[in-house]
Amino acid sequence: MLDPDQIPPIDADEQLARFVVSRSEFRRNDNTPKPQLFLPYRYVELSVTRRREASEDEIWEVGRAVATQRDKKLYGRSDICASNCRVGPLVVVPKPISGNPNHSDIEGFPSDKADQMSLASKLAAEAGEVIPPPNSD
Amino acid sequence: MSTALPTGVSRAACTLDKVKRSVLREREDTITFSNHSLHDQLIDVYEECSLYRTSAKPVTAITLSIAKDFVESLPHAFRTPEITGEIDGNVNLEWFVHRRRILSVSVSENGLLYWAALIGEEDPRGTCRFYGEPPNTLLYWIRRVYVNA
Repeated sequence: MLDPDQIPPIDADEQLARFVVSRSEFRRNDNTPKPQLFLPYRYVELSVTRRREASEDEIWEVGRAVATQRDKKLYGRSDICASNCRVGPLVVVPKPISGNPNHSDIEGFPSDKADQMSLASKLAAEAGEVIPPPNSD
Repeated sequence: MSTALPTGVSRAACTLDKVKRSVLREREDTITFSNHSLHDQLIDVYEECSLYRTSAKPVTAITLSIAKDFVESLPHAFRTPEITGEIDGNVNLEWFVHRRRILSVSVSENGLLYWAALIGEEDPRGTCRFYGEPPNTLLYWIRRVYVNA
């Protein structure tokens, strides 16, 4: 994982992981993410985890922690390139938190729900298929 | 001589009437099939989102009822959308061909329909209230999802 004392800015080609903790966030027939995966709730930013300098095990550890914290099942993760998150008003900024120095936010969502849905559709269109966690059945 | 023909009604009119009844029956069959899918999906949403869900608003029976009324108000030829619950308690309806040919409608408890479509480079969105009749804007964009897909 990144050194919490030396967090670098996010490069355009960095991969960011968004964890899937609800069945309604992806299509089970083809594992494509639904816009709902990228829809902020209550806030106007969306949490993602940088894959930079993180092993697969470390990324999944973060995913399991996110699911546990929300009392949810971890269905997987969808990766998206940082450059594809820079849509309209959206920007990606490093926001390291305790236990996850790779934590970042996609910021700049408008407060209007229809506008949020539109941006979420564009993010979902560019994000990778949902990858199930290791050893999932 | 046939006695089946009512007085003053030609064979052509009877044939036409039979065709009309057949079409109506087929239409009812389609509705039945469509509603079955709709009801199954609404039950799934209720089971997943209304009983227990942390850090989220539950989907209420009122919102489910509005979503059901909205889908049932659409022309019978339209496909039943995929229905899921949203974290804010809204019900999401999705008409999807692929990731750049999609319309999402978010049904709220107060009858507002938030919607966004992505069709190629077009990205229309908006908000409207459901008064029992489907808004023309949404009818247009649902059609557009499937035209030339």
